Amino acid sequence: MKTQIEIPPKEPIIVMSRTYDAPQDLLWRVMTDPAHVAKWWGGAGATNVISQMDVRPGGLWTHLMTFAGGGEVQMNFIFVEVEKPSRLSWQHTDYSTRKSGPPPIYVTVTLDPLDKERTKWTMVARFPTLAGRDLSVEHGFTTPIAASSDLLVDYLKTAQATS
Amino acid sequence: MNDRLSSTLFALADPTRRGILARLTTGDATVGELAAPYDMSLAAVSKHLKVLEGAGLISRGREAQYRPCHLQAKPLKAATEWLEDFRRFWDVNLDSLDDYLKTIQKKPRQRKSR
Repeated sequence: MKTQIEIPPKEPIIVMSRTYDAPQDLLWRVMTDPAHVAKWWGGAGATNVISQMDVRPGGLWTHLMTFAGGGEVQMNFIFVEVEKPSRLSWQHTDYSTRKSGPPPIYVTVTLDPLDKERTKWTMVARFPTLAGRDLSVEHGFTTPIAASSDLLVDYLKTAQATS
Repeated sequence: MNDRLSSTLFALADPTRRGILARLTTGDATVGELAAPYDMSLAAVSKHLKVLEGAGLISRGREAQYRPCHLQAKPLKAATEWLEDFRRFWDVNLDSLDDYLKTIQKKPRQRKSR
């Protein structure tokens, strides 16, 4: 698996990291220029309509993502930290006020150059509280994404249906 | 606060522990049987089993010598699905970013004459 994932028990965060064969400044551009973002976000078959992407602290990122299967996710983010070319963070616009629905996330991505052509990408997704992270478990991460075909998940569904 | 879900997520974050759980879906197993596919000591596998037991994901038999491990499926469903969805979304996103970086880095090189 190319992507590493860590879930600490005592902090309401999930950490993912990955190394790319690309220089840091290119990775920064591809993550912050909406013309680039629209080309890769969501994966193959997804379409992206980015109506706002104002990359500065307090700027809005308004983005409608449509998956190949037709499911849609409306993302309303606000940029918090913008430190070109190494650190970018954003959060749901209602991160501190949301009372219901799936818990909001505060995402920080850091880009660490390993050498001229390789960059380590690290994302920390922070939930308001540990309870919040757990609540998002109960809500499901994002319903439009097809259910997992993982062996364990499939087994558990069968086990639940028959028990 | 539901500590159980947090510890479930923590337990599931490790590939060895996910492998152990997947093995247990096919039936109970001893520490030795669970350790067989891995290049690690019995003590290291026992540590993973303690984490899984602490999260309530497995239970152990009573007999001191044998103590087979048994999967406790109930707390797993919601946590596994959520984590799989989260991971899948970001895996797809990050693979897509990788492909895109390759595409855009290839073009200028072909055109450049220096």
